[in-house]
Amino acid sequence: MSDLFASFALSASGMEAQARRLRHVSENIANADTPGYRRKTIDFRAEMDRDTGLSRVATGPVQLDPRELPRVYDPSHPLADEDGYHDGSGVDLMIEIADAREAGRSYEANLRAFDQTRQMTQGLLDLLRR
Amino acid sequence: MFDIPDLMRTAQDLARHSGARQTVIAQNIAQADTPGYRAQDLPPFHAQADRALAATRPTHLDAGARPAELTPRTDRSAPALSPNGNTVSLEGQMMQAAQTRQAHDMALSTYTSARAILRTAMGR
Repeated sequence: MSDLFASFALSASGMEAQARRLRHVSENIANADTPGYRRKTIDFRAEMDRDTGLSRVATGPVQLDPRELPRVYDPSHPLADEDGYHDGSGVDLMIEIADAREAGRSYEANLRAFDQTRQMTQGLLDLLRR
Repeated sequence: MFDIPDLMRTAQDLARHSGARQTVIAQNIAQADTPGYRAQDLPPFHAQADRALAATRPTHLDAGARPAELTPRTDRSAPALSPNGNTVSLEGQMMQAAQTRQAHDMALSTYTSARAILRTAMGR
């Protein structure tokens, strides 16, 4: 029974991590046209719990994509330098949407695991009732 | 009639095993996107007929340790690595989750009916 309770926490940590990733993806998409914006990414790592020996998902700090920003030629833009160029946004919509899909899929898988654990717990508790 | 308590104990072991396996599966699914994570699994369940080496006192060797059957180990049958070094396949985990669910349901049904037989035998 305690195993099943531990797996609730595991699935919840997975969902939390995926939700955080999705939040940063939507932030990136919202800034797809902001000049000088660098896309934000977070990394996932396994964090071992000494008591149970199980590893939860932990998210690292927000990192900015170090790639060079595209240069956009627009002399009328207020940010343009003397040559007429300014920094564009470092967001590639294709990458962001693929990332969002993957996060959504993993979130759903965690939700399924959570639901199945809940049903198994319910089955155990039903033994007490009859 | 005297087999019934044994049967109930086996059902209990199976339920415990599938509960532990469910936890391992939940962990794999949670870590499905973590770079470098290797999928884990439990050894398959075998009804323990002889408990000759069962630790019955806290001073016995291995008394507090988890039995080998409930200790997760790296799943060698996991499919090839993804580019980030992760070996979790969500489809494979869903399959294992379905098996676990089935084993758990089987254990609970067996337990329930064994209990009913025992009650009938006791005349209640």
